[in-house]
Amino acid sequence: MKKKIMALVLAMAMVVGATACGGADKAGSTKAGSDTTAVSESANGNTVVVAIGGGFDTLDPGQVYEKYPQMIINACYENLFKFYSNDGEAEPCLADTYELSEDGLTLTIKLKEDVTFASGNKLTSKDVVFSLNRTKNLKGNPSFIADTIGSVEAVDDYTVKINLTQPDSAITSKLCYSAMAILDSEVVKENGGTDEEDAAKKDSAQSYLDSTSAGSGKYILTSYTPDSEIVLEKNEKYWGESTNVDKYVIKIQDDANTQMMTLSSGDIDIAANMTADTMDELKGTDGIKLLNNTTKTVSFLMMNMDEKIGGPVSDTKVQQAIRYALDYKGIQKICGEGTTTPYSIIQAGFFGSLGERTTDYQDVDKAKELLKEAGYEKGFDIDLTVCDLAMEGIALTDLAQKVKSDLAEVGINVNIVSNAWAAGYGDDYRDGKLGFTVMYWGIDYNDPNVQLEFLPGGVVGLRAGWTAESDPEIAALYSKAVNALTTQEREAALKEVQEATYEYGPFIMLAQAACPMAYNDRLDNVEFSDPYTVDLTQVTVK
Amino acid sequence: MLRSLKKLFKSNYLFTLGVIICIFWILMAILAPVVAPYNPIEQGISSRLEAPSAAHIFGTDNFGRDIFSRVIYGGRYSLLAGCLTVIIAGIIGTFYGAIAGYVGGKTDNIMMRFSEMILSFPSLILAMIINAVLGSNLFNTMFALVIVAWPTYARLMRSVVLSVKENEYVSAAQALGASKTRILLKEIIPNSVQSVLIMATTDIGNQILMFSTLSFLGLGSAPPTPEWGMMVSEGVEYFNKFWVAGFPGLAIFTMAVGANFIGDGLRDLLDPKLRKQF
Amino acid sequence: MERLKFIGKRLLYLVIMLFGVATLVFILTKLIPGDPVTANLSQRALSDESIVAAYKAKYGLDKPLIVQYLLYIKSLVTFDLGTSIRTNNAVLDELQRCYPATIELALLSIIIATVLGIFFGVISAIKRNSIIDQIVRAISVTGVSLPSFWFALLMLFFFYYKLKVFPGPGRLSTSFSAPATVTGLYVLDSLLEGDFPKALDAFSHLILPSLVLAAFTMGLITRTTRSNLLDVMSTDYIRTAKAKGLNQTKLIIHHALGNALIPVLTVIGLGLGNLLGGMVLVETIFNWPGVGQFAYQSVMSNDFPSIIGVALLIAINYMVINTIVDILYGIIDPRVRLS
Repeated sequence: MKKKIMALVLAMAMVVGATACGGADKAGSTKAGSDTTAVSESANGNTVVVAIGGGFDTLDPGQVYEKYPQMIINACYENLFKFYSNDGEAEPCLADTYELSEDGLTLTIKLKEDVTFASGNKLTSKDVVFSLNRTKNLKGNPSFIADTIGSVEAVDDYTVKINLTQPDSAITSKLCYSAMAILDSEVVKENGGTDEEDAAKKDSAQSYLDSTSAGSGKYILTSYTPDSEIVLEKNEKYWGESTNVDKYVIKIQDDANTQMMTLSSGDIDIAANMTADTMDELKGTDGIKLLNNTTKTVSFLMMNMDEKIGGPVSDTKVQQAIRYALDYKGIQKICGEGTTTPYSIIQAGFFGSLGERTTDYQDVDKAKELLKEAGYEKGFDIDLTVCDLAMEGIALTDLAQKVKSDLAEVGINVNIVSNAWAAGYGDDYRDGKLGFTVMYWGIDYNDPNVQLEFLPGGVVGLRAGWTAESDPEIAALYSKAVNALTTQEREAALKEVQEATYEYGPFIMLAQAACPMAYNDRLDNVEFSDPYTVDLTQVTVK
Repeated sequence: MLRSLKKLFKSNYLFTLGVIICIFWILMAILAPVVAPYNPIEQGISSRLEAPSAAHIFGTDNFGRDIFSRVIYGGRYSLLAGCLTVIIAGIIGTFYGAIAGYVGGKTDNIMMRFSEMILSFPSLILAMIINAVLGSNLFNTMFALVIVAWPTYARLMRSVVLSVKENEYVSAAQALGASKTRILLKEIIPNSVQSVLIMATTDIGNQILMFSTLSFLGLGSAPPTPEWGMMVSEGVEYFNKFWVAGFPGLAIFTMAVGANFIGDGLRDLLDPKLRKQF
Repeated sequence: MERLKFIGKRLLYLVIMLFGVATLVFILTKLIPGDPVTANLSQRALSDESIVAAYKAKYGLDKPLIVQYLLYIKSLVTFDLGTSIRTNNAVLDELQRCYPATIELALLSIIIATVLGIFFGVISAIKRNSIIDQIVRAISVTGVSLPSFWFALLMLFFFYYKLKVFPGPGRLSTSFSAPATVTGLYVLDSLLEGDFPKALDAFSHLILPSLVLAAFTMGLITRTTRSNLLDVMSTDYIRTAKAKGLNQTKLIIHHALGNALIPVLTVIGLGLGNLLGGMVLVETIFNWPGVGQFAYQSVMSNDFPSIIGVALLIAINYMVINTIVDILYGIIDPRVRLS
C-alpha cells in the first residue's frame, strides 16, 4: 500500500511538472515552441513537418497507387518526365531530349548524363529499362499505367527507346506517374528486385523499398512507420541543386481537426488535408497561409444502364430528370469553398476540358415533366447504396443525403443503404452490380485520357452496365481520343466526348473537390500540385 | 419492496434524479412529433452550421437541419436499442446460465467455456466484425450488441442458480417427482431472476453507450436517421462549432447517467449484502 | 502439488480457449461478405483477373476453406501469425510495434483509476449517505456514463486547443524523434537514453488520453470499493472494534480496507484487461498508434490475418490477467484457496 502511495505522489509530481513545462512552452506563444525546434535544428539543419492523410501501406514505387505516397516518391525518386507546375504539361526531367516517331509508336529518349543515384551509382539506360519493366511485370496496382508500353530498349548507355503497342496521346503524362519512377537497378536487384516476366511472384524488394529509397531524388527515405510517420533526409549526393530543407518529417494524420490544431500550435508546418471548416477556423491566424485549389478528384452519381439492376434509373429519361433535379449549388456548399461542378466527364484542369456546368442547371419542373414522360408521374422508391469512403474529406454519405433530399422534391423516394467498402460494396461496385450509388474517382495519371474510362465499354462505364454495344457511337469516341496525336485533333475529340455525355449517360458528376491546405509562413513555394499534392522538392524555408 | 422504494426516493437524490432524467427522455421519445419544432431530416442548405439561436435552440448541422429536433427524435433509437438489447440478452443469458448451472457436469463446462470465449473477445471488435458480416443497419447493430452482452448474464445466472439449487424447495420439488424442465422454469428461474434484473438495469446505460459508440463508427442505421452517436461522429468534423457534436453527445451522456443512477440506487436497495443496512 | 495441478489445469484451459477463439475469428472473418482482395487492391487493378489471381495465391485465398483453416492452425502452433494483407508486414511485428503504445497508456490509466477510485470509494463509505457520498457517487456514475469518444473530443478541445495546457494527439512532439526501442514505452526508453526532456514530453502526451480512459475504470473501482467497504464494516469484528471506541478512519485504513480491497482487485484486473485490449475510439481520436487503432483499421480493410492476431492478443491478455487475479486471490485470501 505504501509503495502505491509513493507511486501516486511520484505520478502527481510528474503530472504537475509536465503541466508546468508544457504550459510555459505553449503559453509563450508559438515562437517559444519554434525556438526549441530551432535548437534541435541547429544540429541537423532545417526540418519541415508535413501532415498528410492515410490510406496507403507501401512506398515501393512499383506498388504505389494512392494519393499521398506520390508526394514521397516525388521527393525521393525522379522520372523521365515531371509536372513542374500544376497547370503545365509534362516536361522532361531525367530525359534530356525526346522524340516521338511519326506513327506515334516509338518514343526515343536521350537521358541526362550527369545523374547519379543516392548510392553513388550512375543513372543509365539500364536503370530505365529495369524500372519500367519491373512496374509492368509486378502486375501490382499501378501496372496498368504501362499497358501501352510494348517493350523498352537500351540503345546505348544514355538512349532509351520505348515501343508502344498503340499510339498513346497520354504517354508523357503517364511517364510522370510515381510507378514510372527510375530506380537504382543495382541496389534494388541486390535487395530482391527483378524486372523479369515473373516479377509478380519473384520480386521481394518491397520490404526494402518500404524502409529506404533507391532513387536519384533530392531526399532519401530513412524511416517509414505505417499509419504513423515517414522521415526523409537530404540526399547529400544529389546531382542537381538542392533546397534548404534538410529533413522532412511526414506525419500520417487523417483527422483534419488535429492537423488544424497542430498547425496553429506550430507543431507542424504543412497541413495537407484540411476541410472547409478547419480552414475557416484558421482564417486570419498570424503566420499561417491558406491554399485552396480545385483538385481533379470528382464524385459522381451512377445509375446502372441495365434495367435488371438499375430499375427505374436505367431509363435515360429518368437519368436526365435526376440530372435536372439536383441542386448543384447546394452540393458545392456542402463540399466547401473551391468545389465546382464539372461540365461532364472531363473535369476542369485537364487539357481540353469544357470547364464547369452552370450551377443554375437545376430545373425541377423539367425534371418532373421528364419523369411523367417516363411513366413515373408519382415518382418511385429506390435504394441508394453508399460506402464508407470519402472524397477529399467529404464523406460520400454526406453527398448521398443531399441527393436524397433533392430527389424527394421531384417525388423520388431514396432510401440510403450503407455498406462498407471492404464488406461487399467494393465487390459489387467492381462487378457492376450496383443499381444506384454515389462514388468518387481520383485520377490515375494526370491526363484527360484517364477520364475516357467513363465511356461505354470503359472500366467505369462497364460498372454502370454501359457496354460498347449499347452505345457504339459514343464508345467509338474512346479510341478516337486516344489515337489523336496533334493538339487540335485531341481537343476536338475530347470536346466531342464531353458533349456526348453532357445530358446523356449513367453518370452525373456531382462535384469536383477542392483540396484545402494550410502552411506556416516560414515556408516558401508551398504550392498545390495535382499529382504530388505538394512538390516537396520545391519547398524552401525563409 | 414498495416501502423501501419510497425510502430510496427520499434518501437517494441521485436515484430520484435518474428517474426524472429517464422519464424525461422517454416522454421526449414518445412525444417527439409534438415537441420537435422541425422535421429532423429536412435540409436547409442556406442556414447550415448556424449557432444556437431562438429559431434553432441547439443550432443547425452541416445540412441546415435543426439539431434540437434531431436530438429529440434520436432518443427513440438509443432507448430502443438500450432496452431491447438488455431484454433480449437478459433472456438468452438467463436461460443459458440456468441450464448450465442446473444441469451441471460436462454440459455446464462446455457451455461456460463457450460463453467465456465470447467474453474474452474484445467486445467492440466483435461487434464490428458482426456488423461487417451482416451489413450495418439498426437491427444488425442491436443483434451485435446482444451477441456481445448475453454471456455476462449467463455467468451471473449460473452462479445464482448454483446456490439456489441447494435450497430446500428445489429438493422438495424433486422429491415430489417434478420434471427437470418444470423445476427449472417454475422454481429455479423465478427465484434467481432478481439478481439478473438488477444487473439489467445497470446494464441499460452501458448498452446505450455501446450502441452510440458503434454508430459513431458508422455501424448503425443509415443516414439521415437522427441517431445520437452518428450525429456526434458527423459533428466531429465541425469541431469548433461545438453545438453540432456537443448536444447529441450531451444527450447520450445524460441518458446513460440517468440509467446508471437508477441502476446504482436499485443495486443498493436490492443487493442482499447491503440490504440489511436500509 | 495441488497448486501445480491447479496451474496446469488453468494453462490447459488457456490453450483450449485460445484455440476456440482462433477458430471463432477464422469463421467470422470468412463470413464477411467482402473479399480481402477488393479491400486491398485498387479499383483499377481489380479489373485485371491476373492481378487478382496472383494476389489470392500470395495469401492462400485460392485454396479451399478447410485447407486454409488447417494451414492457419498449423502456422498458429508455430507462432506464425502470417502477414498482414494491409501493410505487408508480419502480423507479429505489427503487434510488437503497437502493443507497447497501448501498454504505456493502459498502465498510466489504471494507476490513475486505482488511486482515485479507492480514494473516492473510501471517502464515500466513511461518509455514507452524506452530501460527500452523493457527490462522489455522482462522479463515479458520471465516469461510467461518459461516451469516451465525446469526452476525448471535449478534453482535446479544452485542454489542448483552447487552454493549450496539454499537448495534442500523438506520442511525442514533433521536435523529438522516437527513442530507440528497448521496452517500446516511450517514457521509459527516453529515460534509458538519459533524455529527460523527451521523457517528460512523452509523459505529458500520455496524460489526456489516460485521463479519458481512467474515467470509466475509476467509476467501477469507486463503486466496488464503496460497497465492499460497507460490507466489511458491517461485520461483527469491525463493529466490536468500533464499540471499543477505536477511531473510525484509523479503523478503516488499518483493518477494514485490506479485506475490502480483495474484490476490488478483480475489477482492477478486468479494467486493465479492457484497457490493454486497446481502446479503439480513444486511440483513434488521440492518434495513438496502439492495438485499438490497428484493430479498427484491420477490420475496416478486412485484413483477416491482422484481425486474428489482434483478437488472439486480446484474448491472451484477458485470460492471463484473469489467471493472475485468481492466483493472487488465493495468496491474499486463504478462504478462496484453490477452490
